[in-house]
Amino acid sequence: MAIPLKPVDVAVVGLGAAGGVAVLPLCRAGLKVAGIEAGTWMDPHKDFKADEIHNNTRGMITTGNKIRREAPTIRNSPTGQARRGGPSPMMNAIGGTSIHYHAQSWRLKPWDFKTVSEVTKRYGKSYIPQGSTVEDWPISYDELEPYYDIAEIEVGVSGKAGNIKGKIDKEGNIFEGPRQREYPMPHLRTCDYLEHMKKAARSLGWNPFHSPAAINSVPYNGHGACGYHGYCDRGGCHLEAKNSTCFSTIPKAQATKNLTIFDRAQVTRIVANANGADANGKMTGVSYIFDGLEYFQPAKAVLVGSYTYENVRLLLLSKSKAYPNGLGNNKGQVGKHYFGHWDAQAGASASALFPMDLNVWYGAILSQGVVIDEWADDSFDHSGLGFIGGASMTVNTEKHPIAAASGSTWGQVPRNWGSDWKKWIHQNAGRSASAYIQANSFPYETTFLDLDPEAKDPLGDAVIRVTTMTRENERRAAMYAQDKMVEWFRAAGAIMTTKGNPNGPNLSTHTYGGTRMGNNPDTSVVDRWGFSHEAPNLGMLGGSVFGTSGARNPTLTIQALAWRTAEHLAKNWKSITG
Amino acid sequence: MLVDRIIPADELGPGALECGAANYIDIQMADYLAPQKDAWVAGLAALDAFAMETQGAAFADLSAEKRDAVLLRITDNGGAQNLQAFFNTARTYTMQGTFGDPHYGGNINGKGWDIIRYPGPRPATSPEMQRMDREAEPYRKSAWGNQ
Repeated sequence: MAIPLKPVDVAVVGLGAAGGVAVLPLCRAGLKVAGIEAGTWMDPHKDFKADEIHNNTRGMITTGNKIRREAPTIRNSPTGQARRGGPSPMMNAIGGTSIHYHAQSWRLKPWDFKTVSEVTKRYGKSYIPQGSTVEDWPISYDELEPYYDIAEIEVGVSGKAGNIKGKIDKEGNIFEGPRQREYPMPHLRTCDYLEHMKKAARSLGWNPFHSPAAINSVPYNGHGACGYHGYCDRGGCHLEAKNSTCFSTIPKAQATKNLTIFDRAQVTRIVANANGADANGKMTGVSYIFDGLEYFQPAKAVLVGSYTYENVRLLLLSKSKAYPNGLGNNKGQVGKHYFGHWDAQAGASASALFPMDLNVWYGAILSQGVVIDEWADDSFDHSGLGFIGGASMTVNTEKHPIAAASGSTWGQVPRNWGSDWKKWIHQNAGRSASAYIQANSFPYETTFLDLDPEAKDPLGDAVIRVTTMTRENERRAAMYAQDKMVEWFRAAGAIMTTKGNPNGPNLSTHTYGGTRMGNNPDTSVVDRWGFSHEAPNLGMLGGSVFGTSGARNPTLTIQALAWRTAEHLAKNWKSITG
Repeated sequence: MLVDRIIPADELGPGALECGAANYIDIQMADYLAPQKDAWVAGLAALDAFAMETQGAAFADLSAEKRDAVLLRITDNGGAQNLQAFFNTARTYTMQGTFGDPHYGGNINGKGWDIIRYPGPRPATSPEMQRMDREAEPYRKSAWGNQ
């Protein structure tokens, strides 16, 4: 029998990038919140190191035992045999993946929210990728803008605006949707390499700008500025200058005294009223395991903010009389419309060798970066190109010594050991650069999540099975962007360049859908506010509610949506929970 | 020794052995790499057998030139398949023990970082340290404090 705990108003499952933000508006509205997190606090001084072996070789920050045991399986066709796909990007810690992410904090474009209607209007219906289940989002960019604004302020984002209320500034992203104001902090510092790349981009007639990041460029939120030490990737910030939710929104929520954190607590089921029909199928709370014992946390509303795979898994595992196929899944939509981002993990990449030292050892990965957005979204004419969307392209700093020494020698020496090779890396280890390419990605009929019929976690619960396939639209968009990236590197004086094979599919760190947001309960799981069409006091947070990916990192959009869903709950408390 | 052929000492300066890569492998085989120890020992034995077969002595007993000849058979001339995978593993560990943080027993005093002109894991950096026309002063401390 589960041990019952004192009831709270809201149970938030997962205190990562999403749940860690949602708790703040709830607590400020005076609601009593239980933040239930499978991991625990990490110690910036003991756990976060400028150490490639610690962060990258061994993944000490990114991979924990629980994540490995719950990692999804993956297969490349709807009839194939799924296999374990290796460590997934899930994370167990207070702060979640926002501890070790690159802190890229983008707003999606207005086009991303109404791709179907915009593409149909400009090019005709035949341009919608075949087999895609893409829909317009039920909300527009304009509706989300106030929440982007508040997320940028409360989390803490640095950047340079390119469009304030329609006024275009070429120092920022001229293709972005209108913002109500400038970023709360200026963009992170530049460096010689980035200035060199900006000059090259301008020579091509393109408009380079510094990437937006949840990293302090100046002291903010009680923390100091970035140290640009070059160990941001897969590492936590020892200076607490990266605005992981454990340094930003979670401490603010704690300060209200309305948040109780239950750490090392693994949520296993979301519990619906046993008399589902009588109670409109409402949630009564969540069950979790702590130190081998099962507890029940009663709550009047539940917000689920674990990773995409775990969001879907929790719903599918939480079966009851009212929800025999899983929570909120009476129309079979949970797990559908899933897709991974078509980025480096799908093979999209471009690299270059320069004839001079770049000195990009230090920095802050993509966040000390410069971006080109000319070839993303619908910023260019797609007539006759055979794809919609495109990709953003980022050049960045931060190079780690083992990786730099182990990199490609571009065929310039016969083998990768011995004196000749040693001379080559002495000169060239610091002279290569790569770019990060992220293509607009969409959901398809043949890409979905379900429970694996065989693979189980140690509790005996099925893990998620990912079904995915190569998608021609995204492959073409990524190839197009790779060619543009090579053009950029060449304009900057690169003597050698190479391109990736963006054939996918893989487990991306950016995953979307599975509990899609929509107006139609036959094609989506949650409504325009992020609440289940079927279970009114169940809200979903995270990439799992996205209907399109955009050509950029998802976290700020996840956080803006999380804030909006939580605020909606607080403002409509009686009608949602009554 | 294998690591000193992968990154040899030469006119450029110390190689993997002088940087402590062998020490790194010894220490880590009793620690984080312990699950790989059996495969590592078996690989070394297979390398010895291949050296015996092609050069008439165990790998470690051969001159530097002959050890290079053995490795060339593996990496350039499609020698024993199992040894190609072993060589790649040995190279991976050598890179970790030469260019990784000194905390793990290799890269003594950060000497390996001189090989690739990596400036070092400072806790924070100034804009001057990211200039393209000059190198930052080498910083040769472990991220874990003084060793």
